[in-house]
Parts: sequence; C-alpha cells; structure tokens
Amino acid sequence: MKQILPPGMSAADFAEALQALRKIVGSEHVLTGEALASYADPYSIVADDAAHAASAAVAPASTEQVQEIVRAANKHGLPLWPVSCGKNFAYGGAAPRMAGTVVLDLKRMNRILEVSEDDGYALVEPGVSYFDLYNHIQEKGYKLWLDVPDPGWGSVVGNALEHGVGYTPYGDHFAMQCGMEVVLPNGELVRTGMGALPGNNTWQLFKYGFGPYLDGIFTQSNFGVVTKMGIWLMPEPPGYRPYMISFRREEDLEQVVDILRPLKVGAVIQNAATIRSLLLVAAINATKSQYSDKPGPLPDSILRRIMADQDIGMWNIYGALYGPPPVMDTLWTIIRDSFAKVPGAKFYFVEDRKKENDLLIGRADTMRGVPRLGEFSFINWTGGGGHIGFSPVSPIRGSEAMKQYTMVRDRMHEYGFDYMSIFAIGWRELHHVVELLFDRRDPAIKRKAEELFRVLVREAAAAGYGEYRTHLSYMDDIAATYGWNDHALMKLNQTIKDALDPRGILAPGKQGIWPARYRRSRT
Amino acid sequence: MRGVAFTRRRLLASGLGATAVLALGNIVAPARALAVPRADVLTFYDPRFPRSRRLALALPRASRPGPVGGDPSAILSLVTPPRDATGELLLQGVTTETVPFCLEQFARCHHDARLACRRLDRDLFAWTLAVRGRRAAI
Repeated sequence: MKQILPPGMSAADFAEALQALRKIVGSEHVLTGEALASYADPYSIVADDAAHAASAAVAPASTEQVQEIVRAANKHGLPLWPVSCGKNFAYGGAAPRMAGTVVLDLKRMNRILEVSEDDGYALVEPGVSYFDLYNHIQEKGYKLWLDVPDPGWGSVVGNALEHGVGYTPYGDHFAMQCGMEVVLPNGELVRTGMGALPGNNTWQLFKYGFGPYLDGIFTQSNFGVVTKMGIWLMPEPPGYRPYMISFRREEDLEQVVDILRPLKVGAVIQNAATIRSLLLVAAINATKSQYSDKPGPLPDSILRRIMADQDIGMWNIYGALYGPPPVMDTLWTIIRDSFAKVPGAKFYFVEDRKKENDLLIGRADTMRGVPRLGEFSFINWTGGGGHIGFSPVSPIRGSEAMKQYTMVRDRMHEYGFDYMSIFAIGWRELHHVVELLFDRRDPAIKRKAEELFRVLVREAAAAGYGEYRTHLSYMDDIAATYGWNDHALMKLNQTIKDALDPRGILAPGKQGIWPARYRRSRT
Repeated sequence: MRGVAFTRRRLLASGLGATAVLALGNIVAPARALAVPRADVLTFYDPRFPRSRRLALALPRASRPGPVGGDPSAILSLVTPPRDATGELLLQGVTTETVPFCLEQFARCHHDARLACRRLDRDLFAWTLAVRGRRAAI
C-alpha cells in the first residue's frame, strides 16, 4: 500500500510527527496503513480514490489531548481533519478534503456530561451518537425527546455543526445548540456564550452571553475543534399524531408549497415537515427492477403503477401534530382543510397504513426523535449503495419549488437517473435535497453521476440557488458560487482563517476555505 | 403507536440482553447477553420477500429466523456491545441490500467485526457478520 503524506512533508518529518502524536494518545490510537480503511470515503463519486485519502488517524480521549495534538500539529506543520462520528456518508464520511491530512477522530470522546430534564438540554462530547443519547434518555426515564436526522448513527455535535436537520419542532439543529467549548488552532481552549463566565450556570440556557455571538463561525468551518456542545431537548408533549398527505400530480407541488408556507410560518405546522417525491417513498419498499429492467428513468406509466401499488402520491407530506389532544384536533382541522383544496389529496394517520415497512411508520419514529436507519432502504432501488446529496435552498414558494424540480428532474432524466428528493421545510426556506443514487462498483455510472452533479451545481447557481452543504469533492465549487462582491465572504473567511490558524493546520479546504499555506500552492 | 415502532423503541432503549433480543420480532435466539456460543446464530430474513425466509433457513446453523425489514437499527443495537463485553456474536441473514450495506459501514469502523456478503438474486443478499465482544478502540 502506497504511503500517502501530507503535502510538502517528507516521510521522515511525517514519522516524527506521528511519534509525537503517539506520545500523546498512545500507539494504539494512532492509525496508519490498512487500519485507515474506515476513514475512506465509503462511496466516493470521483474517479481518483486517493483524492480524499488520509495519511493517518489519531483518536484522543479528552479535550486536553486534543489541545496537545493541535499544538504538536502546529510544531510539525501537520494538517488535521476533525471528525465526530464520521457517519455523514453522502458527503464524504470521515475522509478529509485534502489528501494526506491526518484525521482527528473524536469518537472516543463520547461522554454525555449532563442532561437537565427540568431545563431541557444535554451537554455532550462530539463522539456521542444519536443512538447513544437516545438510549441514555430512555434508561434514565427523562421526559425529553431528542431530535434526530434520518440515519441515527451520526454525532449529535457533528450534525449540528454541519447544519443538519431533523423532523420534530426542534428540527433545526444548530438553532437548538447552546454553548460550545472549542479548542482553537493554537491549542487554546475557549467557551462561548455564558460559558465564558466562571461559575455561571446558564451556559446551556442563554446562547449569546456578552459581545459577538461566535458559535456560528465554528460550524461548517475550520476555525476550531468543538469538544463540548449544549443541545436543547424537547419536553415530551402530552400528545403526538403523525400524518401523511399524498398528492397525485407532479404539478400539484406548486399549490402544495404555497399552501404550506403560511401554515409553517404561522406555526400551524409545528415540525420540520417534509415533502417526499414518489420514488423516494417507493424505494423504501421496492426495487426498481421489480418494475422495469430497462436502463434510464422510469416512464410515467410505471410511476402511475407504483402510486397505485403502494397507495402513495407523486408528492407526499410527512408531518406530525404535537400537544394536548384538543390543540392537535384544531391544528389538524386547519391543515386538512387547507390541503383538501388540492384535487385528489388523501390524508392518512399511522393506523391507515397497513404495510409493516410503510414509510409513515418509520417517520412516526423519526418525527418523535427515535433514531433509526430505515431510510437507507432507498439504496435498494438501484443497488450498489452509492448516493450523494444535491441540496439547493429556495424560498417556500410554489413557483420556486416547481422551477427547481423541473430543472433538476430534466437533467437527471437526461443523464439516465430517476428523480428522488425531499423538500424539507425550514422556518422560512425549502431545502431541496436531491438523492443521486449510483452503484459504487460501476465506474461508468459514477462518471455520469459526477458529471451530472457539476452541471446541477452550475445551473442552480446560475438560477440563484445555493447549496447549504455538500460532498468533499464539491466544496470549492459550491464556495465559488457564493461570490457576491468579488468573493467578499470568502475573503473574510480567509482573513479569519489566517488570523486564527496561521500555520494552516486545521481542516484545510473545509467548505472551500484554504489557509494561506495551501492557497499559495493551489494558485 | 403500532407495535413495530414500540418494540424497536424498547429494543433501542434496553440495549442488549434478554428484553432486547426477544423484542426483535420474536427471535427465539439467546435470551442472554452477548457471549453466545457459536451454535446459536441469530438469523434474519426480510418478511417483504417470503422466499428470504426459506433461504435464511438454509444458512448454516440457522434455526428460527427472525424478521427484519428495511431498518437494521435493531441488528446494530445487538452488535454494538458494552465496552466490557467479551465473547463472539455471530449473525447471518437473507435480506435486501440495506442491511449488509449498514453492517458494512459498521464493520469498517469496528476492527473486531467481519462481514461476508453475496448477492443471491435480484433483490436479496446473504450475509454473515461476526463480532468480537469488545468494541474496537476507534
């Protein structure tokens, strides 16, 4: 196996740097060679498998060890790529942006430091997964709900830092974080918000403290290593009723979104509801080959057959009601009457969906914060397990949703892919998360997917749509689309980066932010 | 709430042990902790594909296979042992690709886990997962 080194570093210098890391964490927690398999992008879309290959991994057990590692990295000029649980597979998993970077694996830092049932929060380390925190809450019997993303094996901290979403009323994870502890690139330790006041007991209660609110600069960034984070937890409501609403025609999307906007902005729809496309729902219970052996996207006639087989719509809203039963009844009346204006709309509760693996049954867990992995069923659609998310953002407006839908669908069909997506409803925006499925063992399909992805990014940007997160391979492309006023935002990011991390050791290239050290060589 | 969601929640909530295993769709396998003898192989099939049960029964040392649909959370709950667990757990199944896909990601991160998998037909895969009790350091 060919040894991969950090750019510009000799094998001897690298060996010396690793020796320094071994002294900090012990030899068994510094990995090289074959042991790095778990840090590879599990289904890289790019042809070059080495594009995001790590040179080593180091796994500290404490904040103090993180500080020591960062100081050693400064001394040796060693680039580090922090990961929490490393499970964000559709965006690259635990692999680093820059080949040769050492993965700083925080999985061993998995302590749940505090859960306050009265105040509704948890303070956790980055290695705590949603399953871990959920199990802890259940074991202790706390009347609290977690908010979880679709795959429950990811990190609570990592997901919030990457602006991930869940599906309860607490679905905006970064909005629900409160108070961080961060190791800066020079090894110094800071606490944000009220955590900066010694002896204060509101670190996880009041976000802003005194002075500039800095937590945001440690998300989707390379300005520090977050070693503790507070997350607000939802008090268990007195009632809960998940629902599904299906719509028959693809053009219904426009009316559905326009009905949805005032309901969401006015908090009649309480949670982070989603609109799911036909095939993303169908793929939970079926494979493409059950319907067609022909390559390319399925024709309308088959889409109609799938709708009938599975009793689902071309578009399907999954939402939930929370609160005392009279409140839920009132909210449901408003929601049902609003969407009943769409011809052919059908309304379901869990008891109306009979199949054991019906998506509403799975969503019923997710929308009350029970972590699951069932969403991965969609990979059965074409097989091969590869998928990548294309995630442009738009206003909650029907015309915008239709424009994005037709633009993306037409391109996907042109390249031979089925259209599968979720429109996730935020406070004021739609996240259009498109799943591009491919067989990771098929280089030809991967090439097509890669080409299509770049076309989608370019065309979305030309239409004014930006992505809110992306795979490692496209971080530079997406960052470049945020170029208003001669890339003023990137220049600010670079100024902060160079001030905090003059040696450029932390996550070079993360979100397109390269430290001066590598900017020079890249130009 | 329907039973399936409830039992999964119970399984996740209770960690390992008797309740967890029994809650997993009436699998009659070991109502004990992780240190199961090799003779007891937890075996799974996908109830959405009736032929998968017959194929699962044909696997070595399979007795009464338990159902697992598209959500392998319950299986992962079984193979993520407490840190002081010892012994070996052996699982096998005939399911759709989702299950071995998730187990593959698990095995990549846990050095004491070994996964073998092969495609049987258009929809189904046969797989075996062996996990030593102690969780890997990283």
